[in-house]
Parts: sequence; structure tokens; C-alpha cells
Amino acid sequence: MIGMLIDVTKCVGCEKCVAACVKANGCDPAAADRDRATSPDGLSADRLTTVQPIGWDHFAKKACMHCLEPSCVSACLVGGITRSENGAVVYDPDKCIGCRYCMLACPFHVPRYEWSAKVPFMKKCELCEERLADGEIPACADACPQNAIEFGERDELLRLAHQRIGENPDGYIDHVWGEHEFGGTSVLYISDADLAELGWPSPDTESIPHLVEPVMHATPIVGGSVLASVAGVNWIVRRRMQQMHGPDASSNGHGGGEQ
Amino acid sequence: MQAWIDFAMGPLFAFSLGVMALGLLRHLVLQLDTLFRRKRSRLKYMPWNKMLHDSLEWALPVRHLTSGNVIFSNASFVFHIGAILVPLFYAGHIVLWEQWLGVKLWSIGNGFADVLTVITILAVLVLLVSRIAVPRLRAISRNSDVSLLVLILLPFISGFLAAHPAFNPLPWQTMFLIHLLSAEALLILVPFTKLSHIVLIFFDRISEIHWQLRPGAGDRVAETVLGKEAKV
Amino acid sequence: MSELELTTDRTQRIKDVLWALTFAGLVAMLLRFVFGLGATTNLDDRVPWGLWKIFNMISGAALATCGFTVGFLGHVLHLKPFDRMVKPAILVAFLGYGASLFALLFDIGLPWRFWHPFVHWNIHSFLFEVFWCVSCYFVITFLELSPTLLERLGLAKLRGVLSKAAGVFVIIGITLSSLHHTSLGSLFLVTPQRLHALWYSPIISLLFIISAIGGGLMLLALIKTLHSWWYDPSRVFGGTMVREGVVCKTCGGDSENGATPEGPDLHVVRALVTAGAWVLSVYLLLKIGDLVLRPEARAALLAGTWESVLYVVELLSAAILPVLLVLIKPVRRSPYALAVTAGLAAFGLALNRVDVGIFGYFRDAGELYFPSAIEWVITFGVLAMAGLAFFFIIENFSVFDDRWKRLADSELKFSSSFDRLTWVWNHRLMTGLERASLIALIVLPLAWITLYPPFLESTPPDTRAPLAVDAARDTLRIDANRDGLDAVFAHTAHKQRLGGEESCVNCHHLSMPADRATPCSECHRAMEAETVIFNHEQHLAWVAEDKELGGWIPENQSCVECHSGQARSAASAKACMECHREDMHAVDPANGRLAQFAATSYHSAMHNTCIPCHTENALTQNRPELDRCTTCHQFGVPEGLEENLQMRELVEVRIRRQ
Repeated sequence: MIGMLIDVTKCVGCEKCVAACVKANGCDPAAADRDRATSPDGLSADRLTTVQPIGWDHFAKKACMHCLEPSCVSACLVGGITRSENGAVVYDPDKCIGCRYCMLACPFHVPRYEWSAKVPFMKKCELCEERLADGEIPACADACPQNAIEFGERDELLRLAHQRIGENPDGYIDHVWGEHEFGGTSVLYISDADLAELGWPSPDTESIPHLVEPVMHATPIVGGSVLASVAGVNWIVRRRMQQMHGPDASSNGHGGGEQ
Repeated sequence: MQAWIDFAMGPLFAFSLGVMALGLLRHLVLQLDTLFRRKRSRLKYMPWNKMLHDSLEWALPVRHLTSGNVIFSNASFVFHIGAILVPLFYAGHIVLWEQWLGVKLWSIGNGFADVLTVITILAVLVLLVSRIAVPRLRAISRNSDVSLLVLILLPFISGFLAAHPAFNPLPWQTMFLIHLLSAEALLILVPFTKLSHIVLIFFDRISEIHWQLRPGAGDRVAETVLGKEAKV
Repeated sequence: MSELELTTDRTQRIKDVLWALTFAGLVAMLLRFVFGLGATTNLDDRVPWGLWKIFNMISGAALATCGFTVGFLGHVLHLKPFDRMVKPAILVAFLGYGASLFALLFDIGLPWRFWHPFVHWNIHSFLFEVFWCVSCYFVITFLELSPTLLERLGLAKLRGVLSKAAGVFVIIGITLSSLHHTSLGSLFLVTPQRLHALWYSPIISLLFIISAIGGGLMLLALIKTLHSWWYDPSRVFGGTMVREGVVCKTCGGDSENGATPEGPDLHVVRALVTAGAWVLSVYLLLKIGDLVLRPEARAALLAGTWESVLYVVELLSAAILPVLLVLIKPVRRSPYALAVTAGLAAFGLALNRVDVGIFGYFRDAGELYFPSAIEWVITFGVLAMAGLAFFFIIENFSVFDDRWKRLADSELKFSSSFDRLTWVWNHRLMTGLERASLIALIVLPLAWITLYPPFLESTPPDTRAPLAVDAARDTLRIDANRDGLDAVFAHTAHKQRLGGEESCVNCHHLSMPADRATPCSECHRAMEAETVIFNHEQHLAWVAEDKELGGWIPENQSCVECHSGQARSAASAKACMECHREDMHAVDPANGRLAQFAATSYHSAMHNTCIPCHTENALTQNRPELDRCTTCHQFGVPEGLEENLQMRELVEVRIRRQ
């Protein structure tokens, strides 16, 4: 269960993490440069992470939050997005059909689409899957000169977060963003400024799969009962028609349009 | 003005070329359809030889140039040579074909193109005067026969003037725009008027209406004009 | 004969329009695949779902519910007036779902993988369920329709088998339909933060299926009325239409008096509309209940935003007005009023889906989405194709009636004609390939030139900065694309270092005539694109005046002053500097030769002006700091670049990328 802890008090907004991310994911630097100005929040298919200003002197890195109960994983109709064993939410381009439901489903507006490509795919942070396999840490955490991005086990990071808040209660708001919101996220934030601007809801917000999957799981029951009741009604009506008109009557309802 | 020229050389040119190409293709397909339907029906006889013969004869109509209405026939023949060579192979047009169709054609010399253009213009004038002044021709000429000749005259004259600033009484851009617009109007009209004989001439023998191009077949056209279109 | 004439008259214009839309749609479909989603649609990361998914798919499926509802009423319950509408209802469902699925192929990014959900499962996804149910239901509608098609095509044996199985198909179809119509609503349950509170309801699934049932019945009533209007007005519109076999041309008027006999099929339309209104009244109650029980929806409605107005309009059209209208007795007797009621409800249903799927997200997206021309053309192109298929099937198979049996198979032959086009159009080309192809040859090129993305490309935004005023300042902060990464340029210091006023031409390599130091942005107007700075029209006059040319129109003689060769094109023109070396202080430090018509982008103009000098001095004076990006960009460099990168390398990188 890996994760990242982003300390907003340490971030100076240099965007070295963005540069490292662009490089690590093989994105086009020129397009990343352009999208910084054109994308409303700075994320795009060529900028999988961005630094958003909060007020005028705070900055926060934004990318996929790697939710513990991800809405996109639940939404993807081909199961192309999965939560891997280490907690990273990863995408399988071989399954994707390009429906973009994940983009609608994500409460953080994270998934981005390669709109200009003729064979487009979804793009988002995958917690540097390949670098982790090589024993390295994610590129952004590696590049940060301020050590504002801590990478490690989520439990460790949570302890660290509370420790930092405890050591310096005046320097932080006593809240770890991502601990409970939407059922918890692997990317955690601590800050001395309110992060509501980044789209964080209130802490007791339920995870979206938790909200909708019970409805989805009721489907077979609904379907089965509709099937049974329609078939039952059909049988009753046919029987009564047979009783009233004799055996032929039941099949002439089909004649339809003859006038 | 430049914006208009850009539009006429860009989208409008693509449009008119598209209408002409699709229109001629449509004529071709529908004619072939008629042809095969005819073959399937009782009319087993297909005048292949005649079709070939007629097509070749129109390519080199020696017989008509020496007898009948000699002036008209010769003017028409000369006009067709100019009308095919100049639009396709004039040096200035080569650039356009290359830009839009990706084919690089050979060009004819500018001097030759000039002479050919003047001859073509004169030939069209002869045809025009004949259609208006000669009573027999006038009787079988429809309004569209005359107005199409005028429309054909426009791009030739404006093109010639645009290429020869010494004779050009209008600013170059105006003349060039007239050239573009009139030529494009002509391209668009091809599938809808008798100009479609570009394709249909080969099917002359089997068309349902025998639109006879032969001199002497004008009586049938006259019938059309007078509304006696019995066979449809 | 009169009947035949009427037939062609009433549907001809509609079919013409449908053909035109179809051909335009084909062009747009081609462009969509050639240029990709980004260039052809107005969708973006904030608005990932647009017209094709919401209007074509979700509204389309909702309007096509009559297939299963009328199937239930007619086929399972054997209710009297509805059993006659089963075949038309199934046809509407088949075409509606077919069109919806077809439109989806243009919407999804990788349409050749449309079959993936059959293989790769995610049973937790609503979209997965929708996909399975919709595609299976589409097959079911086809199987339900096939006996009708086979009737004309022969194959009596197969038809018999399919007819026997019809009951099973109907029951499976009802099950699949009720599942996917609820799930289409549940699709939006995953966006509690994003969908506007007025439409985000926990019972959205229930609202979706009930409104779809009601609106679908209404649409079928409308189609039945239109069918009668097109082919046989007396059946719905009553007896005044046809007098002794002569068609009354003014039947659209209000000449009816009270004694008009009712059309024999009017009661079918009335039954459909009344049944639809019953369902819609349940929908209305649910909607009101939803509004009352959810405080955030109440607040949103009372907020008086445009969403609340839209919500009221939608509810009026979808439920309130249809239900109220049906309560009025004269409305139930008039075919026109019934058609208006049905049309209103069907429109309201479609609007509801668009509200939920498009308008409801505007506030969250922070931007308005208006579909691009290509999106509209494909949307209506697909619908037009379905419309043409509808006309073809009802005219050639026994769907509404057996009309095709009575029609003579009149084969109109094409003939090359040079008659007046209008005459040909109105009298000769009534139907068939000839007429459609004539529409095609106008519409295809027209659609091409109006939709072709390169023709529509807007000119790059003008980033001209008011530098002329700034020239008086000692230090300039240059940030042409307003990204905050400004370069600090000590203008006065540079001037003094390089040799005072004499040194202006070092950088201001091409001033406007009679100007000593024209600002860079005067010509390098776009940040990342080249700008055409050559004014051909003006040059004609200038050259004629300067060279004192004669003739009727002096400008016309000016071509040969600049152009050589046969074709007068940019390639045959001489370089600007051949004439302007003196008056424009022209020195081009980059390569000694000026590009002829276009100024390079502002970005590369700046870099190409500063970097050569900086790198050279960094080496000769042994001052490596001169060669760093951060020397000028003191507030940071664009991401993707190392801060310690030397400018030299940057130039090389750019050259390699180009």
C-alpha cells in the first residue's frame, strides 16, 4: 500500500516535478508547455501532473489521487482501469475502447484524453509503475528539491503526516486530506491553507463505488423479477384467453397491422 | 479582394471541381446502368461498333469539316481543341492541378497558349454570331445554347487579359477574380447542362433521348425547344 | 393515380432533406476519422461526453422505448388498440437503437474495439450493463422485426420459426429494456459532485425509465399520426380529406365542421397518448416528490439560475403540459392537438436527457459546450439515415399496412436530359438513385468545404504587445504568452554596451520603412506560429508608383518587377531585401537572409536574436552564466528544460525537433 504525502507548506511551485513527470512518461515537452496555459487546471494528456496555485503564495501538486476505492475502476466498462496490489490505480490501454466514462466518473477531474491523437488513449498518473519496478521512486518525488513530496507506505505516511502536524500545530491545519475523503486516497496532503479550492470535499464524503455499486448489484434481482413477472402475466393472459376463446385465440395477437 | 481570391482559389475551387467530378461520375454511372439494363432487357443488340465509331469520328470529324455548315463546324472543332488544351495545360494552371490533385502535367509554351486562346475566343465568337445571326441555327438554338457560349467566353477573355497587363483595362486582381468565378461557374454547370457531353458523348447512341450532335440532327433539338418532346 | 401523387408529394421533400443530411453526414464521418476527435468536435477534458453520447444515444434510446412497452401492452396483455401498433413500435425501436449504436461508433475513441465489452467484463460498471442490454436488445428488436421483413422476401419456414418465438423475444426484450433504461439513469449516479443538484437525484434510475416509457408512447403516437398524414390522411384525420376518391389539397386547413366523422385510426393515437399521459403523470408525481424531499434541489430551483428556468421548461414540456392537455376533451378528439401533445412530450423527454447529460454539467465544467459543426452534421446525418430506412421499410413491408402490395412497381428510368433543371427535378426525378445522386453531388462537395478542418482553422491569436511604449524603459519584462515565465531584458544596458544608437540594427533587423526601431511584435505577431507580413495588394500600388509604371492600370505592369518565370507564385518572387536593404535597416543576424513572406514565431524570434550573441560571448569572454536560460528567465524556465541547460543546447534541441 504505497502512497505519497504532499506537504503544501514546503512546495515553492518550481514545477520540477512536472518536468520530471513529462520526461519519465515520455510526453511531448512542447505540448506540456502549451497545455500549461490552455488547460484550466494545468493537467492534460501531456502533463500528467501539475502545480496549482492556492491563493497567491501556496502551491500544491495535483495528479491522480490513487483512491482506495476508485470511481474510475468501478466505472470502466471493460475493466481497463484496475487498482494494482501496491495501491496504484493503473490503466491498460489494450482494453480501452475510448468511452471516456472514467473522465466523467473521477471526482477529481484527473483522467485526460489524447484529443489530438488519431488513435487516442486516456492518460493519467500511474505512480511511475515502471520506475517502481526498477526499484526507483516516482519521478516527481525524486525531482522535488524541497522534499515536499514524500513517497512510501501509506500507513507510514499517515503517521508522518500526523507527526508533522503534532510537532508544529501552528504551522498546519489539523487535517490530512485524503485520509477519509471518498473512502481515502493514496495521495495525502497536509497544508496550512484550505485545499477546498483543489476540489476536496468534506471528510465524511462516501466513496463513489460504495454509493453506486449496491444499485448495480441489485440489477440481477431487478432483471430476474421483471422476467418472472412478465412471463407470469403472459402465462395468465394466455390461459385466460384460451379458456375464453379456445386454443387458437392465443396466437392471433401477433397479426399486428392488418386492417 | 485578396480574401475573395483566396476563397475562390481555395474552398470554392474545391467545391466546383467536386461538383463537376461527382456530376460527371454520376452521368457515367447512370449511363452504364442504362446500358446494362438495356442488355438485360430484350434489347440484346449493343451498338458497340457504332459507339466507338461515333466517338472516334467526333475526335476527328473530317467529314463535317468539309461539307454542310463549314464555318460553324470548323469553328466548333477549333474551339474544342482550345477548350481542352488551354485550361488543362496552361503553365499557370499546372500549379493549381499540382496543388489540388497532386499531379504535375506538362505545360504548353506561353506563346502557344496565347495564340490558342485568341483562336479559341475568335471561334467562340463565330459560334455565337452564327447562333444569333444565321436563321437556321437560330431556330434550333435554345437560350442556354447562347448563354453558355457567353459564359465560356468569359474565363478565356479574362484569363488572357489577366496574363497580359498591357491590354488589361481593370486592376489585375479584379480581372483574376472574374476569371476564377466565371471558370468555377462553368465547372459547376457542367453536370447540369449540355456541357455534360464531356462524358455523355460516348453514350450518344444509347441515350434515351438522342441528343444528336451531328449537323442535320438539329430538327430533333428543335422539337425539344418547341415542346414536342414525345419520347421520354 | 391520385393516391400515388399524394404519396410522393407528402414525403418527397422530407426525403430530399434526409438524403442531403445523409450525404453531409457521410462527409462529416469521414472527416471525423481522418482528423480525430479533437479537431472535429468541441469535446475536451472538461466536457468528455457530448452530443453523440447524450443526444443520439441516451435521448435516442429513451425515445425508442415504445418497442417494449407496446410489445408488453399488445403482445403480452393483448390489449385491443395496442396490438395493432406492435409492428410499428418494434420498427421504431429497431431503428432508434440502431441509430444510437451507430452514432456511438463515432463518439468512442477506438471504435474498432466496440466488441471489447463482450470479452473484457467489469460487472460493477453501469456502462457495462447498458452496453450488454442495449446491444442484446438491438438484436432482439431485429429478431422481432424479421418476420415482417421475411414476409416479403419469402423464406416462409424461417418466418414461421421466428413468429413462434416472438413471445419469448418480447419477454426477453422487456427485461433487457427495463434493465438498461434504469441503468442509463444510474450512469449519472457516479457524479454526485459534478451533476447539478436539480438533476442529480437518488431515484434518477426510476425517473429515467418512467419518463422513457411515457415519452416513448407519445413518440409512437406522433409517428402514427405523421404516417397517416403522409400516406392516408383519412385514417386519422377523418372523412373530409378524401371526397369521392379525389384528394382534397387543402386538407391541412381548418375547414372541418362539427359533423366531421372521426378517422378510423384516431382512437389508436388517442389510446397511445392517453396511456403515455398516465405514465407521465406518475413521472410528474415522482419529480415533485423528488423536489420536495431533496433540500438541495429545492434550493437550486428557487435560486433562479438559468438551470432552474431550464428545469421548469423541461418539466412543463415533458410532463405538465401533456398531462393537462390530455385532460381536455376537445384535445382528445382533435388529431392535431393530440399530435402537438405527443410532440411536446417527446421533445421534453429528449430535453431531459440533454439536461442531465450536457447542461447539468456546465456549472461544474466551468465552460459552455456547444457542439461543433461536424458533431451536429453527424448527429443529424445518423438520424436522417434512420429516417430513410424508416421510409424504405414502411413503404416496402407490411409494417403499418399492406400498402406496398397495392403500389405498382413503377420503375423510373434515367435518361440524360437537357431539359430545364427545375422541370427534371419536379417531374422526372421523383424517386430513386437519380434524385438522391443529384442531391449528393451538391451536398458532398458543399459539406466537404464547410466542414474540412484546415479550411476552418482560425488564424493564430494576435499576441502583439505594446512594446513601442516600453522602449523608453530601462528594463523590459518580456512575457508574450502570459505564462508568468517572463524574460528580464535590460534594454538600455544592452544598447549602451553594444554601441549606443548605432547598435539598434543589431537586433531590430528589419524596421518598418522610415522607422528606426520597430518593435519585434509588429511582425512576429503569433507566439508559436509564423505570421504572414507581406501585403501583396499594397505592394502592387507601391511598386507601380515607385517605378513610375505606365499603361492603362499601372499596377498591372508591376508583376514582372518582382516575379520571374512562368507561374507568378511566391516561389518566383524575389527576396524582400533586394529592394528594401536601404530603407529598412535590414540586417538579419540569424542567417543573413530574410524569409520572404512570413515572420517567424515570437518565441523563436526572441531566442534567435539573443542566443547567438550570448553563446558567443559566453565562450569568448569565458562567462558561462551568459549561456544559461535563467540569465534572462529569472522567474523560472518552462518545464521540460533543465535550469542549468545552456542556451546553445536549447537551440540544438529545437533544430533537432524540427
